[in-house]
Amino acid sequence: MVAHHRFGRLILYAGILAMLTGISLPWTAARQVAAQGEPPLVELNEDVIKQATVFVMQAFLVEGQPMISCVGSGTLVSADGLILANAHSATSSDACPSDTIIIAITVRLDEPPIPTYTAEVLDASRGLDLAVLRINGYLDGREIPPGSLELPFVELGDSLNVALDDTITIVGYPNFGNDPVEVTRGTVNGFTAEARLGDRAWIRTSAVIPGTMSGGGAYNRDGQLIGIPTIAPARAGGEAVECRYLQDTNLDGRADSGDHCVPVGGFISALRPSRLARGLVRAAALGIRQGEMSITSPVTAPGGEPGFTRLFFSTRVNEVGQASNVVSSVPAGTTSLYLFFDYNQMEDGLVYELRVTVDNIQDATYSLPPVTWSGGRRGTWYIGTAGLPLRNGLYDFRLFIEGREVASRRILVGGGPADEPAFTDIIFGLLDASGNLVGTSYVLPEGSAIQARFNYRNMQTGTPWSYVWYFEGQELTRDTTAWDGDQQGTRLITAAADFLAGQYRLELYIDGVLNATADFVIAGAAESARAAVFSNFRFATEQVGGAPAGTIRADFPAGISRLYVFFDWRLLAPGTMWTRRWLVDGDVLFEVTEPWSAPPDGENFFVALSALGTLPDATYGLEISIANVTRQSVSARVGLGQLPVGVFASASGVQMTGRIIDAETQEGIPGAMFIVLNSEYSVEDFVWDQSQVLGVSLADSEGRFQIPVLLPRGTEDDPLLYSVLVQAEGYLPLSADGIAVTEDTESPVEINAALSRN
Amino acid sequence: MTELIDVRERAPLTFTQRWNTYLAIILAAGVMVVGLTLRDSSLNATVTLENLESGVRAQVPANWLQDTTGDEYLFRVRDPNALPFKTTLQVSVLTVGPDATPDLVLNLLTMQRSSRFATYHEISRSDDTLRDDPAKRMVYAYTEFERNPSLQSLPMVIEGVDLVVLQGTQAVVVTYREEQSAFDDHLYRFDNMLRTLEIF
Repeated sequence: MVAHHRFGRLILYAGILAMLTGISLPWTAARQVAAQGEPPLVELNEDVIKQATVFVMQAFLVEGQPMISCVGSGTLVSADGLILANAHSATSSDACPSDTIIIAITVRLDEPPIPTYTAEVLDASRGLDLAVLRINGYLDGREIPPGSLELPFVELGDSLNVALDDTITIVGYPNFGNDPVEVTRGTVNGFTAEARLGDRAWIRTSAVIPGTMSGGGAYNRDGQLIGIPTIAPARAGGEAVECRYLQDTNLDGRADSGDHCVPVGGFISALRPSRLARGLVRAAALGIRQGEMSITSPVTAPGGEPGFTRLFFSTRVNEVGQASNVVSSVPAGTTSLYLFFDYNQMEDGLVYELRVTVDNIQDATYSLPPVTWSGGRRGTWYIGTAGLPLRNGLYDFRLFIEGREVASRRILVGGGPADEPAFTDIIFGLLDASGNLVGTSYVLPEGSAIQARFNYRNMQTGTPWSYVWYFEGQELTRDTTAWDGDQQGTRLITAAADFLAGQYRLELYIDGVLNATADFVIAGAAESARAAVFSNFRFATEQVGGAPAGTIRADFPAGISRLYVFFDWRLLAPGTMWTRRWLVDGDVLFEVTEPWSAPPDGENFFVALSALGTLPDATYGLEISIANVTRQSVSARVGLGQLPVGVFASASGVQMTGRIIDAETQEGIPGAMFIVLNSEYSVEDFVWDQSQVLGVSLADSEGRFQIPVLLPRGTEDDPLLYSVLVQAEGYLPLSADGIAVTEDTESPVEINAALSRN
Repeated sequence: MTELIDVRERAPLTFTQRWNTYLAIILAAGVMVVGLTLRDSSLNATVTLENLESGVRAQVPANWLQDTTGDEYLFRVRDPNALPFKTTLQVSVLTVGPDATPDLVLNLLTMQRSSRFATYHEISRSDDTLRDDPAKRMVYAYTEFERNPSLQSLPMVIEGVDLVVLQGTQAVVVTYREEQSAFDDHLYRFDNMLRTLEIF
């Protein structure tokens, strides 16, 4: 018996030794390559990524029969079943009606996905076209309680670290779920800027990505999710899209053109950076949602067709997202170019597109493929390219809404640096008693005079120049004079009027050509030359009749389920764009920009966060901005004031898999138990307490097991050592200590255990 | 042809030889009995698990995996060796109102489990006692299947029994689950735990 036991243990040790020997070779190879200055080997674990990629199907019921309306890909971002996908693949719309979201998963890597679960949308942004779903049940209707699944998942990477020419791996499903999950590789060939989202609103890639892979994942070399391939949603009744008739949705006995057509789209060349999804994912993982807010009256605007007007180019965007200059041509070697335009009657989720031709040849690098609009109803927007040299040529920028061309603008790239006169960098402020400009900003208090300061260069005496001030789109005043100053410097101009709360614009012209422009907002009353708009911030756990109630303080005990912020405001014109950001321990969870829709003055405006259970211990912050200028930032502590350590599970550990077999027959032992202990315990320390256990797996019908949690890594100098036990009735138990996991350990670690009968 | 036939009379055992044989047999039997006793005591060895907050204590088999971290139970033990299903014993506590009855608790359990366990259905319900306190026993069955989508196993039919006893405003639920074909064989584990269960 003892001999058998020793023999079995020997086999286990031999297996582990073989595994360690096997995985040591690639490390050596990697080090040698790195020493020669080559790029490091691709380390991403494709198997885990493939298993974490799910196929998302929207379905609706017709006489009790599920009919598929739209399909797409998605990615598991937590072990308990949070899925990141495109909003258009998950939310019901005219083109994609749905009652149910069905999730198919990859069980065997070389086979198509298997419909297994249902899911619900926890939060979605139609503008960003991102949604977070949670697996909530099996297909037979049984519920899955939150936290009860242990699925493979991937970790969100830092998409800001992605650089031009980086190799990326894109994973998704290439068609209607007929084929296995597909992996395609490409390089990053550019970035596209968009207002509010910065220079990296989109990552552009050379990879060929089928439309159904929209919502899947793009990964860096470390296997972290850095982008979400995104294609514009199909429009019901819009321009013809490629689609397939899969089912007899009208129950007339035929699946033909009278039935619902499942769109497949074209090909994807744009990825939404994962940083834009981080807030959605974190909020979902913490079980936090945006709660109720003050009831307001939406600002009514005249109807009409959506459109873009006042197109102009700039090479620089300032800190509040406005054009620092206006250019009509740029010299050779220019690396940044932004197309600014005003928009009206737009709506989040509309599809818009920028097509750029260079010398009449379509250029995908500077174009933006059809994507969803995220800027709200009206305002100023830009699309651009930063950090990418523009080749010389005549560029035509054409803008489309829902496939209809609505505006265009041309610019010449080439030649030497221009020495033409120019105005740049407008900023606004107030004059103090000494005649100095103070309180410079793009949000100013009500008053009777506003100063604008701008830089100028290459100006010649006598050159005609003019300025025009606007209020809410209406011209207030204008003047044209001959330049009487130096060639270059800084100049102030003053507008004297009763500046009421609202949105203003200044345009500067040289020889009748727009040369600089900036917008500003008048709001609040002057306090030390600053605009005081919001005041009297209070946190509370309840609201009664629109007033704070319950506990009112800034330090709350653990266990509250709602957190309200109340504040007063003054002189804020309805329609002024304002932004609110909820932060948890400094991370932005929610950001909403919308027109102010309450009266200009008032008290007790409130916004709130709510939790599915209780709000986790953390520091909760609220930032309020007007015109991208942060006006107020407040915070409150709940419980300990910081999130528990490890609240966001890491996907960077090592997976342990393998097979448990009968040493004599070599057959798998179904039901055999494989236990991995936490690294601080050895087999000798184990007293059969679950708290000592890192993970347990029962062998399947083939004897295969997979530990449902990832083993945290140690370092090369201080590896984490794990102990394992294998048990099955009728067999001698096996155990082993000292399985080392370091930062270099390749995942998955495979262990095969042969048990001897007792 | 000559045939030799060796005919010997077997010599009778001596007194010493006879008793040596008897003693060897007795010793072997004794060792076997001791071995079996040791084995049984090893297999039936128990440890005490308790939850002071809820006032529940019970003896459970030693060397079973003990879990006191779950949300749905005070403690749960599983036999790591059992095949194909890990024999499970658990004790949980539900907060109930003063008018609650054991049947109401069983109804609540049935409603919860119906949405979580595949093909869950109740088989029988009967009156019982636990240390002279009135209790209710419910037998049920459901289908257990592999929850890790990467692993493939045939579903198993699991049979379970709950014993519910009310203690003030809490209902103590003692549960035993086993693969259907082994349910009766291991039911004594449940009975053993019930015999040692203390609610204080």
